[in-house]
Amino acid sequence: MRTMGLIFTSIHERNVPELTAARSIASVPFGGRYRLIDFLLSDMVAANVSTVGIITKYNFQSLMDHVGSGKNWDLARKNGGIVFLPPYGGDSRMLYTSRLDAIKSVLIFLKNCTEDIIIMSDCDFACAFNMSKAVDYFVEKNSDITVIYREKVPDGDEIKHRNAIVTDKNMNVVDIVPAQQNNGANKLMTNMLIMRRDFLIKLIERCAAVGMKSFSRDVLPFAIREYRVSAYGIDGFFASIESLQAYFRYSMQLTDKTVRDSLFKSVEVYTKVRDSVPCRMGDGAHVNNSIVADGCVIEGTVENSILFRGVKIGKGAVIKNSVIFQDADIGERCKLGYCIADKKTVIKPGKNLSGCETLPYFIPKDTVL
Amino acid sequence: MQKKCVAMLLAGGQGTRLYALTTKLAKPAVSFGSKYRIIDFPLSNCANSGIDTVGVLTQYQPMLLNEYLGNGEPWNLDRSHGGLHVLPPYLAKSGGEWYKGTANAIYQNAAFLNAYKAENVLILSGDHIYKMDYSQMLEYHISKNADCTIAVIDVPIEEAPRFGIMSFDDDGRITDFAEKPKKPKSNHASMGIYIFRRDVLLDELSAEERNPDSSFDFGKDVIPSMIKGGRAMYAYKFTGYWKDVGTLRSLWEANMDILSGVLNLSDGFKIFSRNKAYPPSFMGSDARVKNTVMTAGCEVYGDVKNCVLSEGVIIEEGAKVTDSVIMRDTVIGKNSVVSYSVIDEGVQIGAGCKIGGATDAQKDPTLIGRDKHIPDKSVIGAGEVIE
Repeated sequence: MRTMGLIFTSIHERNVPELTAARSIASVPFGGRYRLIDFLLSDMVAANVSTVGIITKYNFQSLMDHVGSGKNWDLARKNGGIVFLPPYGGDSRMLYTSRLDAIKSVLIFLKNCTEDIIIMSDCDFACAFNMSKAVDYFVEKNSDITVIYREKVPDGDEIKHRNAIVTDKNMNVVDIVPAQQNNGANKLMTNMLIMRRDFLIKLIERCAAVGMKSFSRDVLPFAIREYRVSAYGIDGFFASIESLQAYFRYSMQLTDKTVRDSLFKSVEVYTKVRDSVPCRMGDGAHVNNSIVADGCVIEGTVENSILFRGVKIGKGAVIKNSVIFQDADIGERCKLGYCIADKKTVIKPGKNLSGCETLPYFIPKDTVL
Repeated sequence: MQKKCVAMLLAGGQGTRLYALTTKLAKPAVSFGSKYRIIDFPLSNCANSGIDTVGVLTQYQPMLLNEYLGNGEPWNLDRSHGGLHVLPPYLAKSGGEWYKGTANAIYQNAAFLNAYKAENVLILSGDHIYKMDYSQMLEYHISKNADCTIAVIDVPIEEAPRFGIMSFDDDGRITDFAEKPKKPKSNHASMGIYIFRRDVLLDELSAEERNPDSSFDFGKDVIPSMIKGGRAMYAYKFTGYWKDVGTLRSLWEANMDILSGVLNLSDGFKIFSRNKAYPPSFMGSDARVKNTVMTAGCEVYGDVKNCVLSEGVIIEEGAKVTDSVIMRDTVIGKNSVVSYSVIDEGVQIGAGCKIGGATDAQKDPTLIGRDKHIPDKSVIGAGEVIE
């Protein structure tokens, strides 16, 4: 059985307008040196997925720059590999507006593929899990669709944009309901689905023919009534980027070793090679409980923070509880607390910036302060 | 297609003065500067100089080196025409033999140079750390209409007896060359980087093959005999950072040169390397890290000062590591003290060990060889080598 992937790189990006102003959700930086799509692609590669279609909509230059030919994930192949699927491809004359439209617009691509099984996924999360086990489960259950879910985290997990599934005792999906805090529906959909490629093509053609508009509101409920839809649960760290606050909270959790091991050690996570120089910590550096990527030059104090590649922290600067993106330059004696500084931010010496734990202060890309 | 310049990188040497570091791998594959291996420097120089065809001559322990080089993609050398070629010794219809010396290694691969119709051949070695734009040297070589151009660097006169030392006139034409002279006439040292016209090179190498007393070495045999024979030999002066890392002490020093900034890795002239998938590094709550460089995958919970850490190094709680070079995936156990040491890849140092002594310019650092397991509470003194 050969498996392919299909990734939606733009869905849900309105949830984090700050981070997606200059990029698609799939290329939002996460975890010190990665973009969200790195985790999904690496999970797929670990499960021997050899073809990955990447559906793009807006703002996909940064994503294309990051993924490139796919060689960093071993996905630059003669047959298959990374296939970018921008809008207006195939016979579509319109910019698609829904997931269903998007799949319809790539039907020709799907028909031309030769893989048996397809894993379809959004790209607004970071997690590492054994995808081939999920595929095995799908095959053993002889399902038409396997829905991948995770258990709702008891307190405070943002769920306002999520659906949950209801299953019978044999883990067959019987219903989809909006996820709410206390409705007993604890199996949150990850929006990862496994099915046979030819089944997906037939399902989409059949649903489109009767004028269905939405994949999650129309097609999935229809499929649950008509076909065998099973559920497969995953556990471990799952950073669902549903708001800037959620992004910040999940980033801070990476200072916990069990979280890091769950995300980084269960699957080898590949990313774009940047050939940065090694990170350098000077005589004035105090770096504690923090993640530091290559190319950083640190002369100040860094606590409970995530520094992406090539970040500069000047002498006497104090960075606490913050996430600093690639190539940001924090001047001498600056004080930052609960900040998210986007790529190439320049903070002039002596500035004092602070958000709070539940509302981090966001500094947009290329800002000079 | 004709190539203006093809590089030949001599990477077959054992590097005996690096002791345990080269037990299982060739010297050019030895780790350097946190995320690099020595060979990254000449290969990146090629990439940054527009040289797209490089033959890497291997002989001693080539397995890890070959794996590291792969198709040359990290150095932009995965090309349809040209690119990186690993050139080991081979058997031919009428025999075949090991490479007998640097000159013989090139001679045995004359067919490679002829296949690319290389106008000029750049000879490089895999044991120097430096950044150099070879295209400028090539321009100089062509403008002088030279048969051979040798890169030279001025060294302190007391160190001159370790090098090939030459004299040249105002035009740069070399008048005298002595390999490792006891009484050097100048401090102009050969960097072991040569550009030859291919026809001249192959003539000289086949003449050398017929010389029964030859040791088939560029510095000892080929260059002196070319000067004697009146060939147009020019010196190309280089003034940047350059260091021969053929000894344990010099390898340690070159690593420390990154910390002091003498060797600047972030000046825009990028050194490329093959990257493994490591997560970013993590500094624990009680970590104290000063004047240190590290790359991905490190976890530091103890004290680190004046160190160069490669990928995946773990420094456990209470450990104190100073003035040391720690290579890939090595673990320094709890409360261990490490000073003035070079610890090779994959070493496990137990808890409460004491490794190394005080920094001493007259003594080699302590060395622990690849994949060694050092039991708890071991004491390994200054200058010891654990192989």
